Amino acid sequence: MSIHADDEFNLRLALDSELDDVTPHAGLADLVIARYRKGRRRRFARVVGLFVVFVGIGVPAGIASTSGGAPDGAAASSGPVALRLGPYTLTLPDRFHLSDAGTAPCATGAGAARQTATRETAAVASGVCVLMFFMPPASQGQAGGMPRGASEVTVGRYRAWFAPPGYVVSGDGPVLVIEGDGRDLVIGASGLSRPALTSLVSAGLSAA
Amino acid sequence: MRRVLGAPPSREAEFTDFVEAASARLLRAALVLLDTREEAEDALQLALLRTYRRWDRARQAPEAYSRTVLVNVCRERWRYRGRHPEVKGVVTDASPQSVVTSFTEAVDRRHVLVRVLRRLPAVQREVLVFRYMLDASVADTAAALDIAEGTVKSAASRGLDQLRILLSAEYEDKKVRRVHPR
Repeated sequence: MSIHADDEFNLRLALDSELDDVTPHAGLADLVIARYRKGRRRRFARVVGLFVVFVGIGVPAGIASTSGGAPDGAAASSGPVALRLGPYTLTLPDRFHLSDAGTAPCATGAGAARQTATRETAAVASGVCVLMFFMPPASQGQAGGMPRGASEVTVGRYRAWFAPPGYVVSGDGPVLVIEGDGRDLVIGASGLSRPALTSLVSAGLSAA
Repeated sequence: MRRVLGAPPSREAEFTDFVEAASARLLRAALVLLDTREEAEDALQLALLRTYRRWDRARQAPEAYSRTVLVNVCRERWRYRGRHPEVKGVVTDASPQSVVTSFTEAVDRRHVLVRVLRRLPAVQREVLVFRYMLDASVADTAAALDIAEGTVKSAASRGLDQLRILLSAEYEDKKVRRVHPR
Protein backbone atom coordinates (compact mmCIF):
# COMPACT_ATOMS: atom_id res chain seq x y z
CA MET A 1 0.00 0.00 0.00
CA SER A 2 1.67 3.21 -1.08
CA ILE A 3 -0.71 5.70 0.52
CA HIS A 4 0.67 7.65 3.43
CA ALA A 5 -1.72 9.55 5.65
CA ASP A 6 0.31 12.73 5.52
CA ASP A 7 0.67 12.67 1.74
CA GLU A 8 -1.50 14.65 -0.57
CA PHE A 9 -2.91 11.56 -2.18
CA ASN A 10 -5.24 11.13 -4.99
CA LEU A 11 -8.05 9.01 -3.69
CA ARG A 12 -9.33 8.25 -7.15
CA LEU A 13 -6.01 6.81 -8.32
CA ALA A 14 -5.55 4.91 -5.11
CA LEU A 15 -8.97 3.31 -5.37
CA ASP A 16 -8.41 2.48 -9.03
CA SER A 17 -5.15 0.77 -8.29
CA GLU A 18 -6.51 -1.09 -5.28
CA LEU A 19 -9.65 -2.32 -7.00
CA ASP A 20 -8.31 -2.96 -10.49
CA ASP A 21 -8.82 -6.70 -9.95
CA VAL A 22 -12.50 -6.22 -9.14
CA THR A 23 -14.36 -6.80 -12.38
CA PRO A 24 -17.90 -7.99 -12.98
CA HIS A 25 -18.73 -11.37 -14.50
CA ALA A 26 -18.58 -11.65 -18.26
CA GLY A 27 -22.03 -11.61 -19.82
CA LEU A 28 -23.53 -9.51 -17.05
CA ALA A 29 -25.72 -7.61 -19.52
CA ASP A 30 -27.12 -10.85 -20.95
CA LEU A 31 -27.80 -12.08 -17.44
CA VAL A 32 -29.69 -8.90 -16.58
CA ILE A 33 -31.68 -9.00 -19.83
CA ALA A 34 -32.59 -12.67 -19.25
CA ARG A 35 -33.68 -11.84 -15.71
CA TYR A 36 -35.77 -8.94 -17.02
CA ARG A 37 -37.49 -11.19 -19.58
CA LYS A 38 -38.19 -13.83 -16.96
CA GLY A 39 -39.73 -11.22 -14.68
CA ARG A 40 -41.78 -9.80 -17.54
CA ARG A 41 -43.10 -13.26 -18.44
CA ARG A 42 -44.02 -13.82 -14.81
CA ARG A 43 -45.80 -10.45 -14.61
CA PHE A 44 -47.65 -11.18 -17.85
CA ALA A 45 -48.71 -14.61 -16.57
CA ARG A 46 -49.91 -13.01 -13.34
CA VAL A 47 -51.97 -10.43 -15.26
CA VAL A 48 -53.47 -13.13 -17.50
CA GLY A 49 -54.20 -15.29 -14.46
CA LEU A 50 -55.97 -12.42 -12.72
CA PHE A 51 -57.91 -11.66 -15.91
CA VAL A 52 -59.01 -15.29 -16.21
CA VAL A 53 -60.07 -15.37 -12.56
CA PHE A 54 -62.07 -12.15 -12.88
CA VAL A 55 -63.69 -13.30 -16.13
CA GLY A 56 -64.39 -16.69 -14.53
CA ILE A 57 -66.20 -15.01 -11.67
CA GLY A 58 -67.69 -12.06 -13.52
CA VAL A 59 -69.20 -13.75 -16.56
CA PRO A 60 -71.23 -16.41 -14.69
CA ALA A 61 -72.33 -13.75 -12.21
CA GLY A 62 -73.36 -11.46 -15.08
CA ILE A 63 -75.21 -14.26 -16.85
CA ALA A 64 -76.97 -15.24 -13.64
CA SER A 65 -78.08 -11.69 -12.98
CA THR A 66 -79.45 -11.14 -16.49
CA SER A 67 -80.87 -14.56 -17.37
CA GLY A 68 -84.62 -14.93 -17.79
CA GLY A 69 -85.16 -11.34 -18.92
CA ALA A 70 -88.14 -9.93 -17.16
CA PRO A 71 -91.08 -9.06 -19.39
CA ASP A 72 -93.03 -5.91 -18.61
CA GLY A 73 -89.94 -4.48 -16.94
CA ALA A 74 -89.91 -6.82 -14.00
CA ALA A 75 -86.50 -6.74 -12.41
CA ALA A 76 -84.61 -9.98 -12.12
CA SER A 77 -83.06 -10.33 -8.72
CA SER A 78 -82.60 -12.83 -5.95
CA GLY A 79 -85.57 -13.30 -3.60
CA PRO A 80 -89.22 -13.70 -4.55
CA VAL A 81 -90.03 -13.47 -8.25
CA ALA A 82 -92.79 -11.09 -9.34
CA LEU A 83 -94.78 -12.22 -12.36
CA ARG A 84 -96.57 -9.10 -13.57
CA LEU A 85 -99.38 -8.81 -16.08
CA GLY A 86 -101.44 -5.65 -16.34
CA PRO A 87 -102.67 -4.72 -12.87
CA TYR A 88 -101.95 -8.20 -11.50
CA THR A 89 -98.78 -9.30 -9.75
CA LEU A 90 -98.21 -12.92 -8.84
CA THR A 91 -95.36 -13.21 -6.35
CA LEU A 92 -93.66 -16.59 -6.62
CA PRO A 93 -91.02 -18.22 -4.39
CA ASP A 94 -87.38 -17.47 -5.26
CA ARG A 95 -86.85 -20.90 -6.82
CA PHE A 96 -88.76 -19.56 -9.84
CA HIS A 97 -87.20 -17.39 -12.49
CA LEU A 98 -88.89 -15.41 -15.22
CA SER A 99 -89.04 -17.04 -18.62
CA ASP A 100 -90.04 -16.18 -22.14
CA ALA A 101 -93.78 -16.89 -22.35
CA GLY A 102 -93.52 -18.11 -25.93
CA THR A 103 -91.03 -20.84 -25.10
CA ALA A 104 -92.09 -21.77 -21.56
CA PRO A 105 -92.84 -25.52 -21.20
CA CYS A 106 -96.41 -24.87 -20.05
CA ALA A 107 -97.14 -22.71 -23.14
CA THR A 108 -96.78 -25.59 -25.58
CA GLY A 109 -100.26 -26.90 -24.93
CA ALA A 110 -101.99 -23.51 -25.06
CA GLY A 111 -105.08 -23.53 -27.19
CA ALA A 112 -107.14 -21.01 -29.06
CA ALA A 113 -107.88 -18.89 -26.02
CA ARG A 114 -104.19 -18.12 -25.64
CA GLN A 115 -103.88 -17.39 -29.35
CA THR A 116 -105.93 -14.26 -28.80
CA ALA A 117 -103.87 -13.15 -25.83
CA THR A 118 -101.84 -10.06 -26.55
CA ARG A 119 -99.89 -10.05 -23.32
CA GLU A 120 -98.57 -13.01 -21.42
CA THR A 121 -95.82 -13.83 -18.99
CA ALA A 122 -94.32 -16.98 -17.53
CA ALA A 123 -92.03 -18.25 -14.81
CA VAL A 124 -90.37 -21.60 -14.39
CA ALA A 125 -88.75 -23.57 -11.64
CA SER A 126 -87.42 -27.11 -11.58
CA GLY A 127 -90.26 -29.20 -13.07
CA VAL A 128 -92.81 -26.43 -12.59
CA CYS A 129 -94.07 -23.80 -15.00
CA VAL A 130 -96.58 -21.00 -14.46
CA LEU A 131 -98.10 -19.08 -17.39
CA MET A 132 -100.35 -16.00 -17.10
CA PHE A 133 -102.38 -14.34 -19.86
CA PHE A 134 -105.69 -12.55 -20.36
CA MET A 135 -108.69 -13.88 -22.28
CA PRO A 136 -112.19 -12.48 -22.99
CA PRO A 137 -114.66 -13.09 -20.15
CA ALA A 138 -115.98 -16.63 -20.28
CA SER A 139 -119.11 -15.69 -18.33
CA GLN A 140 -120.62 -14.00 -21.37
CA GLY A 141 -123.38 -16.28 -22.58
CA GLN A 142 -122.50 -19.02 -20.08
CA ALA A 143 -124.97 -20.43 -17.57
CA GLY A 144 -123.90 -19.43 -14.02
CA GLY A 145 -120.98 -17.45 -15.40
CA MET A 146 -118.83 -20.57 -15.80
CA PRO A 147 -118.39 -23.11 -18.59
CA ARG A 148 -119.75 -26.58 -18.13
CA GLY A 149 -117.39 -28.80 -16.13
CA ALA A 150 -115.70 -25.88 -14.37
CA SER A 151 -115.29 -25.99 -10.60
CA GLU A 152 -115.58 -22.75 -8.68
CA VAL A 153 -112.95 -21.87 -6.12
CA THR A 154 -112.18 -18.82 -3.99
CA VAL A 155 -108.67 -17.56 -4.36
CA GLY A 156 -108.02 -14.93 -1.74
CA ARG A 157 -110.51 -12.17 -2.43
CA TYR A 158 -111.03 -13.22 -6.04
CA ARG A 159 -113.79 -15.31 -7.57
CA ALA A 160 -112.24 -17.97 -9.75
CA TRP A 161 -112.79 -21.36 -11.26
CA PHE A 162 -110.74 -24.21 -12.56
CA ALA A 163 -111.33 -24.59 -16.28
CA PRO A 164 -112.36 -27.99 -17.53
CA PRO A 165 -109.69 -29.94 -19.42
CA GLY A 166 -109.14 -28.59 -22.92
CA TYR A 167 -111.26 -25.49 -22.33
CA VAL A 168 -108.51 -22.92 -22.28
CA VAL A 169 -105.34 -24.85 -22.95
CA SER A 170 -104.89 -28.28 -24.39
CA GLY A 171 -102.43 -29.42 -21.70
CA ASP A 172 -103.43 -31.45 -18.67
CA GLY A 173 -102.17 -29.09 -15.96
CA PRO A 174 -104.61 -27.10 -13.81
CA VAL A 175 -105.85 -23.83 -15.29
CA LEU A 176 -107.22 -21.22 -12.92
CA VAL A 177 -109.38 -18.43 -14.33
CA ILE A 178 -109.72 -15.26 -12.24
CA GLU A 179 -112.76 -13.27 -13.27
CA GLY A 180 -112.10 -9.63 -13.93
CA ASP A 181 -113.81 -6.62 -15.44
CA GLY A 182 -113.87 -6.96 -19.20
CA ARG A 183 -111.23 -9.73 -19.24
CA ASP A 184 -110.34 -12.82 -17.25
CA LEU A 185 -106.88 -13.61 -15.95
CA VAL A 186 -105.81 -17.14 -16.82
CA ILE A 187 -103.11 -18.81 -14.72
CA GLY A 188 -102.06 -22.14 -16.17
CA ALA A 189 -99.52 -24.41 -14.55
CA SER A 190 -97.71 -27.63 -15.22
CA GLY A 191 -96.06 -29.69 -12.53
CA LEU A 192 -98.52 -28.43 -9.89
CA SER A 193 -101.71 -29.90 -8.49
CA ARG A 194 -104.91 -27.85 -8.23
CA PRO A 195 -104.51 -27.31 -4.43
CA ALA A 196 -100.90 -26.32 -4.89
CA LEU A 197 -101.80 -23.81 -7.61
CA THR A 198 -104.66 -22.47 -5.48
CA SER A 199 -102.42 -21.90 -2.50
CA LEU A 200 -99.69 -20.38 -4.69
CA VAL A 201 -102.11 -17.91 -6.24
CA SER A 202 -103.91 -17.20 -2.93
CA ALA A 203 -100.61 -16.33 -1.28
CA GLY A 204 -99.06 -14.43 -4.13
CA LEU A 205 -101.71 -12.72 -6.28
CA SER A 206 -102.38 -9.05 -5.84
CA ALA A 207 -103.92 -6.42 -8.07
CA ALA A 208 -103.01 -2.78 -8.30
CA MET B 1 -23.47 -8.23 -28.97
CA ARG B 2 -23.37 -8.25 -32.76
CA ARG B 3 -25.09 -5.42 -34.54
CA VAL B 4 -26.14 -5.08 -38.16
CA LEU B 5 -24.09 -2.31 -39.76
CA GLY B 6 -26.15 0.78 -40.50
CA ALA B 7 -29.08 -0.32 -38.34
CA PRO B 8 -29.97 1.80 -35.29
CA PRO B 9 -28.78 0.23 -32.05
CA SER B 10 -31.49 -1.79 -30.38
CA ARG B 11 -32.48 -1.37 -26.76
CA GLU B 12 -30.53 -4.51 -25.84
CA ALA B 13 -27.44 -3.50 -27.78
CA GLU B 14 -27.42 -0.06 -26.18
CA PHE B 15 -27.81 -1.56 -22.74
CA THR B 16 -25.07 -4.13 -23.36
CA ASP B 17 -22.68 -1.40 -24.47
CA PHE B 18 -23.50 0.61 -21.37
CA VAL B 19 -22.99 -2.37 -19.05
CA GLU B 20 -19.63 -3.18 -20.63
CA ALA B 21 -18.48 0.40 -20.16
CA ALA B 22 -19.83 1.13 -16.68
CA SER B 23 -20.30 -2.10 -14.76
CA ALA B 24 -16.75 -2.35 -13.38
CA ARG B 25 -16.92 1.13 -11.87
CA LEU B 26 -20.38 0.48 -10.46
CA LEU B 27 -19.28 -2.83 -8.95
CA ARG B 28 -16.31 -1.18 -7.24
CA ALA B 29 -18.61 1.49 -5.85
CA ALA B 30 -21.01 -1.18 -4.57
CA LEU B 31 -18.09 -3.01 -3.00
CA VAL B 32 -17.24 0.07 -0.95
CA LEU B 33 -20.86 0.76 -0.03
CA LEU B 34 -21.63 -2.83 1.02
CA ASP B 35 -19.75 -5.43 3.02
CA THR B 36 -18.92 -8.30 0.71
CA ARG B 37 -18.26 -9.01 -2.93
CA GLU B 38 -21.42 -11.16 -3.15
CA GLU B 39 -23.59 -8.37 -1.82
CA ALA B 40 -21.97 -5.91 -4.19
CA GLU B 41 -22.58 -8.16 -7.20
CA ASP B 42 -26.20 -8.74 -6.19
CA ALA B 43 -26.75 -5.02 -5.72
CA LEU B 44 -25.16 -4.25 -9.08
CA GLN B 45 -27.32 -6.81 -10.85
CA LEU B 46 -30.47 -5.43 -9.24
CA ALA B 47 -29.48 -1.85 -10.06
CA LEU B 48 -28.84 -2.76 -13.69
CA LEU B 49 -32.14 -4.65 -13.84
CA ARG B 50 -34.03 -1.60 -12.57
CA THR B 51 -32.13 0.57 -15.02
CA TYR B 52 -33.04 -1.73 -17.92
CA ARG B 53 -36.70 -1.75 -16.90
CA ARG B 54 -36.73 2.05 -17.31
CA TRP B 55 -34.25 2.12 -20.16
CA ASP B 56 -36.38 4.45 -22.27
CA ARG B 57 -35.93 7.08 -19.57
CA ALA B 58 -32.47 6.00 -18.40
CA ARG B 59 -30.86 5.99 -21.86
CA GLN B 60 -30.58 9.82 -21.78
CA ALA B 61 -28.02 9.59 -18.96
CA PRO B 62 -27.58 5.91 -18.09
CA GLU B 63 -24.56 6.42 -15.79
CA ALA B 64 -26.30 9.02 -13.64
CA TYR B 65 -29.49 6.94 -13.57
CA SER B 66 -27.76 3.68 -12.67
CA ARG B 67 -25.57 5.14 -9.93
CA THR B 68 -28.63 6.71 -8.30
CA VAL B 69 -30.40 3.35 -8.48
CA LEU B 70 -27.30 1.62 -7.10
CA VAL B 71 -27.08 3.84 -4.05
CA ASN B 72 -30.80 3.29 -3.44
CA VAL B 73 -30.31 -0.48 -3.65
CA CYS B 74 -27.42 -0.24 -1.18
CA ARG B 75 -29.53 1.84 1.20
CA GLU B 76 -32.30 -0.77 0.96
CA ARG B 77 -29.73 -3.42 1.99
CA TRP B 78 -28.60 -1.38 4.96
CA ARG B 79 -32.18 -0.87 6.08
CA TYR B 80 -32.93 -4.58 5.60
CA ARG B 81 -29.87 -5.51 7.64
CA GLY B 82 -30.95 -3.05 10.33
CA ARG B 83 -34.32 -4.78 10.56
CA HIS B 84 -32.89 -8.32 10.26
CA PRO B 85 -29.56 -8.42 12.07
CA GLU B 86 -29.64 -12.22 12.00
CA VAL B 87 -29.37 -12.24 8.17
CA LYS B 88 -25.75 -11.10 8.26
CA GLY B 89 -24.62 -14.52 9.40
CA VAL B 90 -26.95 -16.48 7.20
CA VAL B 91 -24.20 -18.81 5.95
CA THR B 92 -23.34 -21.28 8.67
CA ASP B 93 -19.83 -22.52 9.22
CA ALA B 94 -20.89 -26.06 8.42
CA SER B 95 -22.11 -25.27 4.93
CA PRO B 96 -19.80 -25.78 1.95
CA GLN B 97 -20.19 -22.09 1.03
CA SER B 98 -18.58 -20.99 4.28
CA VAL B 99 -15.16 -21.73 2.83
CA VAL B 100 -15.88 -19.52 -0.17
CA THR B 101 -17.25 -16.79 2.09
CA SER B 102 -14.16 -16.92 4.21
CA PHE B 103 -11.98 -16.78 1.11
CA THR B 104 -13.95 -13.79 -0.16
CA GLU B 105 -13.54 -12.10 3.19
CA ALA B 106 -9.87 -12.82 3.04
CA VAL B 107 -9.63 -11.22 -0.39
CA ASP B 108 -11.66 -8.27 0.87
CA ARG B 109 -9.25 -7.76 3.73
CA ARG B 110 -6.53 -7.13 1.19
CA HIS B 111 -8.39 -3.99 0.16
CA VAL B 112 -7.15 -1.70 2.90
CA LEU B 113 -8.58 1.47 1.42
CA VAL B 114 -11.99 -0.12 0.89
CA ARG B 115 -12.02 -1.41 4.43
CA VAL B 116 -11.16 2.02 5.80
CA LEU B 117 -13.78 3.67 3.61
CA ARG B 118 -16.41 1.31 5.01
CA ARG B 119 -15.67 2.64 8.48
CA LEU B 120 -16.73 6.15 7.50
CA PRO B 121 -20.23 7.44 8.27
CA ALA B 122 -22.75 6.58 5.54
CA VAL B 123 -23.09 10.11 4.08
CA GLN B 124 -19.33 10.65 3.87
CA ARG B 125 -18.84 7.24 2.33
CA GLU B 126 -21.55 7.81 -0.28
CA VAL B 127 -20.20 11.24 -1.16
CA LEU B 128 -16.63 9.95 -1.54
CA VAL B 129 -17.84 7.07 -3.69
CA PHE B 130 -19.83 9.38 -5.92
CA ARG B 131 -17.14 12.05 -6.21
CA TYR B 132 -14.01 9.90 -6.48
CA MET B 133 -15.15 6.54 -7.80
CA LEU B 134 -18.10 7.39 -10.02
CA ASP B 135 -16.73 10.77 -11.14
CA ALA B 136 -19.97 12.56 -10.32
CA SER B 137 -19.99 16.34 -10.01
CA VAL B 138 -21.02 18.06 -6.79
CA ALA B 139 -24.41 18.90 -8.31
CA ASP B 140 -24.97 15.33 -9.59
CA THR B 141 -23.94 13.89 -6.22
CA ALA B 142 -26.30 16.21 -4.39
CA ALA B 143 -29.17 15.30 -6.73
CA ALA B 144 -28.51 11.55 -6.53
CA LEU B 145 -28.14 11.46 -2.74
CA ASP B 146 -30.92 14.00 -2.19
CA ILE B 147 -28.77 16.31 -0.10
CA ALA B 148 -27.63 19.94 -0.47
CA GLU B 149 -24.53 20.78 -2.50
CA GLY B 150 -22.99 22.34 0.62
CA THR B 151 -23.50 19.04 2.43
CA VAL B 152 -21.71 17.25 -0.41
CA LYS B 153 -18.70 19.56 -0.13
CA SER B 154 -18.48 19.37 3.65
CA ALA B 155 -19.02 15.58 3.68
CA ALA B 156 -16.29 15.14 1.06
CA SER B 157 -13.85 17.31 3.02
CA ARG B 158 -14.58 15.63 6.35
CA GLY B 159 -14.55 12.21 4.72
CA LEU B 160 -11.09 12.80 3.24
CA ASP B 161 -9.78 14.09 6.58
CA GLN B 162 -11.22 11.08 8.35
CA LEU B 163 -9.75 8.79 5.70
CA ARG B 164 -6.28 10.26 6.23
CA ILE B 165 -6.55 9.71 9.98
CA LEU B 166 -7.78 6.13 9.62
CA LEU B 167 -5.16 5.27 6.99
CA SER B 168 -2.46 6.80 9.15
CA ALA B 169 -3.54 4.60 12.07
CA GLU B 170 -3.66 1.60 9.76
CA TYR B 171 -0.17 2.36 8.46
CA GLU B 172 1.27 2.85 11.93
CA ASP B 173 -0.33 -0.40 13.08
CA LYS B 174 1.28 -2.27 10.19
CA LYS B 175 4.68 -0.75 10.94
CA VAL B 176 4.39 -1.80 14.58
CA ARG B 177 3.37 -5.32 13.53
CA ARG B 178 6.28 -5.57 11.13
CA VAL B 179 8.80 -4.53 13.81
CA HIS B 180 7.18 -6.60 16.58
CA PRO B 181 5.44 -9.53 14.97
CA ARG B 182 2.81 -11.03 17.30
